[in-house]
Amino acid sequence: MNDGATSVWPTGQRSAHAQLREAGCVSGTEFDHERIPPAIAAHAIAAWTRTGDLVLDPDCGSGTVLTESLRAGRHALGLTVRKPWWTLARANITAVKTAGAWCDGSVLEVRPRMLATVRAAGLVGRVGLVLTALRTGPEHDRVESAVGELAKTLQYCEPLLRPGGHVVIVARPCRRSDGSLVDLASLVVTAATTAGLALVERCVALSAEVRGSRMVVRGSGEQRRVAHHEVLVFQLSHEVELAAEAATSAPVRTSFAHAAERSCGRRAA
Amino acid sequence: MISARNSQVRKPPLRRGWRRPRLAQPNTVWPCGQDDLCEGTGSLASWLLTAVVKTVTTYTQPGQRVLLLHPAPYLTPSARGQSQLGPYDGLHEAGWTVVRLGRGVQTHTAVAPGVEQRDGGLVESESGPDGYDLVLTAADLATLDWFRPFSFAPLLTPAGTLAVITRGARSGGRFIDPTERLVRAARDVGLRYLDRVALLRVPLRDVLHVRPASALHRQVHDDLLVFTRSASPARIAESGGASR
Repeated sequence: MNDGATSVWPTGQRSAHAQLREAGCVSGTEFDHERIPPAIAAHAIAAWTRTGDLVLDPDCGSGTVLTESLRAGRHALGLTVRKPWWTLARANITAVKTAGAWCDGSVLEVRPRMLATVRAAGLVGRVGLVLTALRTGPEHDRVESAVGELAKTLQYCEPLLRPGGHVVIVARPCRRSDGSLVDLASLVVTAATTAGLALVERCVALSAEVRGSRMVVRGSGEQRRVAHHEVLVFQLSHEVELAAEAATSAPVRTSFAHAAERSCGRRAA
Repeated sequence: MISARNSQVRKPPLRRGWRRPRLAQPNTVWPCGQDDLCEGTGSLASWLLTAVVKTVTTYTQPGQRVLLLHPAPYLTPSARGQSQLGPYDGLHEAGWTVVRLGRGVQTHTAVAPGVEQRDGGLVESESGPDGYDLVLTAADLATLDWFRPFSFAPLLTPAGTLAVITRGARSGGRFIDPTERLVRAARDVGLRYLDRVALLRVPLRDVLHVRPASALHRQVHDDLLVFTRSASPARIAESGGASR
C-alpha cells in the first residue's frame, strides 16, 4: 500500500449492494438513492477523523455515514426530517451496534435548524467531521433549493466544528432537463463560502470498478455515464488563513494553537 | 459428424437501411496515465496525448476539423527567460496524432496581450467557411489569468464543441478551482456546459492501493470541461449525424 492518498479514490471496487451488505445495513437502505456510498464515507472518515471523534450528518437519509462512523470507532449523529429515513437509519445504527460497534450513535428526526438552538449547545466545538450528501431529488429537479438548504445547514454546522475539523460534501453529477451539466461544485463552494468555510480539497470518488488498467462502470443509461462522485472538502476559513500565514512567516506557535485560541475567543464572544 | 451444410448458422441481417451515427457517450472519468506509453523526445506528456485522442474521438467524427489551441505562458513578459516546462506544453505535438485519426487539424499558439504575435494570430477567416467542430485547449490557473479560451468560440461550427483541460491549484491554503469562472465565461458567449470529465494522469494501479491519510491528497487528475453551442444533445446528435 502507498501512504500518499490521491485525489482519485478507489471507492467503486464493490457494487453498491455489496457495500451495503458489508456495512451491515438493513434491507431498504438501497432505496435511498442519494445516500453516500459506504466506501466513500469510510474513506472520508479515515482521512479526516481520528478514533473517538464525532461525525455529524445533518441530512443523513438512511444513515450510511452513521454506520461507517460507528464501524470505524467514531461517534455519530444524524439528522433527518423524513420519518421513513429516521426509522431506517435507526435500524442501521442498531444493526451495527449489535455487530459490536462501541461508539455512541444517534439519529434525530429534526430539521438542521435544531443545530443552532440550545439543544445543540453541547456539540459546539466538538464535531470532527461534517459529512453529508447534496440531495437534489430523484429527477435532480430541485438543485437550486437543495443548495439553498445546504447553505443554511452549513451555517448551523460551522460553529460545531472543532479546531482542525472538516466539512465534506459529496455530490453526484447531474443534468438539467435541457441536457446541460449542472455546475454543482461551484454552487456548493459558494454556499460553503457564505457559511464561513474555505475549499481545501476537491477529490473524485470512483463509483466505477478498477480492473487492471481499465474501469468498469456499473448501471445503465445515464447512470452508466457517471463514474464518480464529486467530493468537496472544506475547513473553517479563519483556520485556513491562519495556517497559510503560519506557513509563510516564522512559525512561533502552531497554526493549530492559533486556530484553537481564535475559535474559542469567537465562541466566547 | 456435422455436415458443412448443417453447420451453417443463419446470421441475422447485417443492417437494415441507414442508421444515424450516435453521439459517443463518455463516462465521467478517463484513465489517461498509462505506463506502456513511451515518453518520447517531445515535450507533450503521454497522459495529455491520451486525453487529446480520447477527446477528439469522443466529440468529433473522421473528416471533421479540430483546432489545437495552445496558450504560451513562456511568452508572457513575466515568464521570459524561464525554461521550465508547463503541464500542457507540447500540445501542438498532438496534431500529428489527430491527423492520423482522420480529422483535419490546425494548431495555434495564443500569446498574452502585449506580446508580439509572430504568426499573425488566428483570424476568423482562417477557420474556413464551416469553422471548427472542436476547439481543444489546455490551460492552468495562472494561464487563465490572461488567456480567454472563449474568445475562440466564434470559430466553432453551429454544433461545435469547445473543450478546456485545466486543473485547480492550492493557494494560501485554499483550493482554487477555475471551473466556475470558465462556466460563467462560457455562458456569456452562449455556450452550454455539456460535460466534465476527470482525466487521471497516473496509471490506475497508483490510485488502487492507497491508504487514506490525514495529509492532503496528492492531485493526480485534471479536468476536461466541455462546452457546446447547441441547445440540446438531441440537436447535437442531429447536426453531428447529418454532417458525418
